[in-house]
Amino acid sequence: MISRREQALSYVVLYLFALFAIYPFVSTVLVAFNGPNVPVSGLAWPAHWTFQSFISTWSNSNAGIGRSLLNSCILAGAVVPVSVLFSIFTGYAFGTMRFRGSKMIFGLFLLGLMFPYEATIIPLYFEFRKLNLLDTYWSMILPDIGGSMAFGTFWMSSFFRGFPRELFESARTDGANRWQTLWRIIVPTARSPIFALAVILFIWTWNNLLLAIVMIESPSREMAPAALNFFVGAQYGSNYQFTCAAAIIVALPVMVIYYVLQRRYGADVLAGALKG
Amino acid sequence: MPYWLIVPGLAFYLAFVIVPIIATVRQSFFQWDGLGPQVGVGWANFTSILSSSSQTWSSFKVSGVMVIFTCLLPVAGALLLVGLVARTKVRGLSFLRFVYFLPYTVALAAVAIAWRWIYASNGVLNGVVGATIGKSAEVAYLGSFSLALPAVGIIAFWATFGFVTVLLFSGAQHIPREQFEAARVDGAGPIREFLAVTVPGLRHEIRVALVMTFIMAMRTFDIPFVTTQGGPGYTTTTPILTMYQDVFQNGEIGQGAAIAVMVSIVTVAGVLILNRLLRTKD
Repeated sequence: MISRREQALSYVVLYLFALFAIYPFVSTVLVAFNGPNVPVSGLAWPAHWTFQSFISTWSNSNAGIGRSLLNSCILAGAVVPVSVLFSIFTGYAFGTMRFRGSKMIFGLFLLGLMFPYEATIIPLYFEFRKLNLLDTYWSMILPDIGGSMAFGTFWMSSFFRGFPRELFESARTDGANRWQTLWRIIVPTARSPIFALAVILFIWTWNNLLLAIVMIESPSREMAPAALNFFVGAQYGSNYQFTCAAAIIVALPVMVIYYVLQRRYGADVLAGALKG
Repeated sequence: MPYWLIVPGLAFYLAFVIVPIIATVRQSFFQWDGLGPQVGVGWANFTSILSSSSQTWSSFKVSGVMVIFTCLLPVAGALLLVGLVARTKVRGLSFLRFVYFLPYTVALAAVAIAWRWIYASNGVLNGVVGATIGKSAEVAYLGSFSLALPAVGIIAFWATFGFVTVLLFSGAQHIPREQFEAARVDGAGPIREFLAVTVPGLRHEIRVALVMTFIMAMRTFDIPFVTTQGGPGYTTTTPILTMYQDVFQNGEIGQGAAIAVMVSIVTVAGVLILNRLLRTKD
């Protein structure tokens, strides 16, 4: 049906786009494997491959990149479980129950999917300043949880809505109340969308730059993407290998988590989750 | 019971999203430097940012360009790829999906760093240009008044096209095979088949992709902040970057809030229009 030539052309186009997607990663890695103080240019193929730039980047005490990874882990460790738990609750309520005001409140959550969250940052900053919460983990944890709720609610409820009715009914005849039904039947069955939601929220929390540069000032509490900013400001030009090494160190944890997810569920779980 | 279930999530959502949005709207009618008393100024913040000579106005033009690069071009490119895949049986599709989606997972700050090297005066692009065309054709892309904005746009394209492609791929798998066969029996060529079967079958995914990437385009901040700081001049300054500078560097909090309000209005209006134009029944 389809000519060989057409088939070959398809592969060429598909893999050209794949090359385009992967090349910036490759070139960043190449630059970073050049040693410090080596002049780098063009394709940046290292004459001597060395981890030295990674080591110098990691141990640069002014940048504090290790510390920033720890901070981002603390942030994500607080935000992701709480947001996922609350989203399971709201999703369960909106997806399986009818109650007064449910349509209106759900609509309020949907509104949050459209609003650019940047519109919240000005009053949040000045409120936190008043409450002496600026430059604390709380100034990131609280807005990140709030900002996760619109998507989390939407995502979990659309999953629970498609849940087979018979499962609820059989649980009820077994004498389980709604709370027990949630934990014994629904959550175990919904493991894959819950895991996908956790990964998406982790990516968003980890990568959020604006909130991090607005709320956090002390280097000891700096978040990972904001720590990158140090290298962009200080080192650009002479030693770009440090900047590239820092970018890899910050990006790697998320890429590893994405890799694990797609090994388990395939790459379109995330896309499906983001479908809206 | 339903009320107890929604209370924790709703409380966080109200306290850290809805109330701040309302506060931003209120703030946009006041002049404030962040320290002294707040002075009500009516619509003055809006008239000043909307006057055609203002820098905010030009930042909305930058937004328009970002919509092309973040939203329209990625969806067009993804449609091209999905057209190729929908017709033929492609091997290694799961590998391609993995690679395409990778850019979406990386912090835009790190993405910006990777691309700064590609665009750097001694970087990749100039290395290729210098070797093929000649040293004289080398350019400092991010420092050029005419090239900086498209250069930043290409970064944004790179960051979104793969994720849009994966979204459309997963939609294309749900188009019934018989529709392609029926089209072929009718003698449809590849282009007819694409327009008559693939695109209509992906209406829902196309709408979702356009809405999501449109919102991303309006929110553009990280990439220009890390690559160009909005320069040269104001050629790559987006509204959110202006808002950040107004509020956190220039002490013009009311004006920054007015920009936030304008961005929100344009975003919500754009989303509603897109949903209306591409309405799907489901």
